[in-house]
Amino acid sequence: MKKILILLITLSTLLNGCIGAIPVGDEDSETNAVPIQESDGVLDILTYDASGLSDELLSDFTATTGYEINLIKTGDVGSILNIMAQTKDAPQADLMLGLDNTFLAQAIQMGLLQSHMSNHGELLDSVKISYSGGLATPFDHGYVCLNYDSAVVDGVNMSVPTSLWNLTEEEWKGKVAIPSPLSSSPGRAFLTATVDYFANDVDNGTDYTDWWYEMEGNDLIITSGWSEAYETHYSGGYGPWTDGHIGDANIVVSYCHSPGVEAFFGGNYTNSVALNLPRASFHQVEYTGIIAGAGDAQAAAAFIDYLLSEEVNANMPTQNSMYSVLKGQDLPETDGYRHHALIPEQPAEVTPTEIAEGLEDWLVEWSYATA
Amino acid sequence: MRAVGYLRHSIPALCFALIAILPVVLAIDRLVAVGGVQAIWAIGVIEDHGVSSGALWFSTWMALASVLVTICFGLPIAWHLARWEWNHARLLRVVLTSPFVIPSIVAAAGFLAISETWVDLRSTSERRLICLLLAHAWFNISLFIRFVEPRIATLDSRLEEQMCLLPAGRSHWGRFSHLWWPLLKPSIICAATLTFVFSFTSFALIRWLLVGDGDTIESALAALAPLAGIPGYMETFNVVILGLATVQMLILGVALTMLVFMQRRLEVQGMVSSEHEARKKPSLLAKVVIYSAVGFTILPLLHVFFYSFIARDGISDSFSIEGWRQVIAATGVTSGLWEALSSSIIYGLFTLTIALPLGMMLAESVVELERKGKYFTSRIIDLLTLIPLAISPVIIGLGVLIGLIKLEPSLLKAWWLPIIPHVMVTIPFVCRILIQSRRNLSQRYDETAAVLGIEPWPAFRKITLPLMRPSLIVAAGFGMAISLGEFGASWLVMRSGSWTTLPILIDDHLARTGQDPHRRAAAMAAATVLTILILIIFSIIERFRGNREESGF
Repeated sequence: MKKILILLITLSTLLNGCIGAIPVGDEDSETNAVPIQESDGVLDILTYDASGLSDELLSDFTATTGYEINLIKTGDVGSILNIMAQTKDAPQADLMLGLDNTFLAQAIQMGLLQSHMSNHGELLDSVKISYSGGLATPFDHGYVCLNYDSAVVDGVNMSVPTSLWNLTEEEWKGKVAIPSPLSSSPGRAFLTATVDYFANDVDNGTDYTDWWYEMEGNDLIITSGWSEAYETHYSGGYGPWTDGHIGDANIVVSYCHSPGVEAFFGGNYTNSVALNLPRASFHQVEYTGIIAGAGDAQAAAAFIDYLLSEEVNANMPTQNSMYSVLKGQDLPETDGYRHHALIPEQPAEVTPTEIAEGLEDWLVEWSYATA
Repeated sequence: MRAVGYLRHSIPALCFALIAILPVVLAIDRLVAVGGVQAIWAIGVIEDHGVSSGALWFSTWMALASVLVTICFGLPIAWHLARWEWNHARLLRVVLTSPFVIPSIVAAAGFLAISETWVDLRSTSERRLICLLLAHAWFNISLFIRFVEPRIATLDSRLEEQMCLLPAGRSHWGRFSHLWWPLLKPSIICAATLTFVFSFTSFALIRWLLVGDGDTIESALAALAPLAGIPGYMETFNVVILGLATVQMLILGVALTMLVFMQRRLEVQGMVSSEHEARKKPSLLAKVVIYSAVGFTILPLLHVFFYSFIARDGISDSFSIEGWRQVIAATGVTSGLWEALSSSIIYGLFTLTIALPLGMMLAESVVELERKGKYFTSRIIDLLTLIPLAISPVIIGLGVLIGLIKLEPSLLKAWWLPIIPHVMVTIPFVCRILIQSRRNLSQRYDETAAVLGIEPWPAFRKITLPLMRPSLIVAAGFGMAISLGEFGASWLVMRSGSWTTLPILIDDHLARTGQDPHRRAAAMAAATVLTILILIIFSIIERFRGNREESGF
């Protein structure tokens, strides 16, 4: 028995951080102190799995500019920020691609990006609202909102929601799927929208936590990522084409232009409709930026210019299922892409700074409400 | 001389600690630094925090339920396999034990396909839970075959006959409680404990089969992992991650300590054996049990193969070889099949070049110390080799991300980085096989060599090594299979400068979005190649296994 105890104590000491904590004070909040890395002649792009960079696009860039590319892929957007933070003192990647406006302010505050002047076409005014400085450049955007299956939610058997509160009613029990804001960026965007939605509705006695709490009581389906919510649970999308489709949810968090994407790939046919509720959508802008201390900053700048060039960025809707950020560009009319896509009248109004300040609290409150 | 002895034992132990434990210690340390709370105190937070409350409870009862279901499947199979004379017994054992090394991503795909074709295991959360428990049983039946079956098979039948003559042994229950249970208890507990450990840290199956029905410690950790280890950012969640990681490691640590002590009891008990007893032809019941088990084992794998030829257009299915074409041509992903296959094999080989010599040295240490009567030190090293099993894939991933990469950022682009997690997941198995085999090697060889004045190293090279060749081949094959199928840690560790392995390629194809009729077929094609490769390795190593070896793997 004594030996077992000794073993357990040894084990728990090991777990208890016995080698003394690594100091974490100023080293990680300092800015402008990152030494410039040596160039390795290759443009290292830190991005996430589903960033939509096709092989064709990458090889075309190499052919045009002569810069070789190495992709460093992470499982999700959150890991991009994490790797940038862990390698801050000796950055290994030159370019970040994929942090959105719920992450950007954090990366800027931590001094992880360096400014550059890009040479590209004129950006839409709407994508400059979130951030217009030189540390990051938007490369695509879209609105995150609820999509419903109009074959089921037809106004007769089930009514189309006119308020988020409708979703807490019996009719919607177990039929709403939302990706977790902890691990999914559309989920995080939607949580942010709900904060704004309930702060500005007529009822001052309730806030977003009350709604999420009620939703949890109404058997809300929370998934780890967007694909589990959209492909596995949602009945109105291309889920039946995928393995393990369940189809028990008739409303889901996705993009306002997802029905357009459905129609575009589905021969101008879709049952999916984006729900247009004031402040219940979030304008998500995805950014690229040169990592502070990057060894191949010139190649990174060339890539930003390339990505923002009209011939590449205009293809965002078909290549990456997102809007182009350039003025004069829109979704294609082909197969009902633009027709089925919704631009919400009034998206939530939350600034990146408000997000950076409030997000941790919102996530904590959210996790209690949905526990 | 004494110092040399210590050094000889401590060097392999230190190397092992450096590769397998240091990343995790660094990660824990980082979490402590960011969260500002010591690991032990962080445990107190997890039940109160919204993101983790209930995860401990759910993980524990889900793992215990998995153990129960696995016992219900595993014991009858082990019993009937042991008690009768089966034609092609070796083949039966290969088939029935192979699921253990099949990557969970392949198993998940197989179970999803079964659910679609035969029986609905998907539409409600209860059904999904049943599917998960069945999948856990599918994986872990092999533990019962490896641990329990040899005990039953090698029992001297005279013992049972004598038992029948005694008053207490007249009934089935009497024979069970007075003969079989005392005899089998340690091996059943060993198999059950490992089943608990693997179910408790199951990652891919929870992700694909439960799709958000309940949070286990592992799935909560996976969701929170990107928030870990950044000073000034999401500190509340860092404390939760630390608490979850600590409680998970403590529970698994206790389970594995129990395993080591139970294995010791198994050795003390020894085999009351007679190896070559004439057995009868299987009864009808035995045939039903074993052939159903074979069916249960191969059904998910057959589905994987079958669906690699099926295009799925949302309404109907049709035969097509387009999936195979896409997986070879790397359609929609960055790596083709052959590229991923060669990457997997190269990573596997590098993993073995570290894991095998290290495993061999550790096995030498454990057995030598044991024979010198230093049981406690020997147990400690033995337990040390099991520690990676107490570290879940997500924690291994975190160890690399916020431990090693924080310490040495250039590792991010090192192509060999994934070898570290591969060694971590492989080495406990390699050690188990080698330690057991080294123990079975009679002490007389060592003594004779000493009497003849042969130095330890030549004795090792000329006597021990050739005698252990079959076990080394088994350990190498098993380690290779585990490395080929490794998914969880690689999935979390960035696929940076590293190359795409087969399990990652399967996931990449499954993760392709949009209405593509061939994405599943492409994933299944990659899964088929991986499965065939693993089955070939398994069939080869089965030829080198001592009949009814008890390493558990």
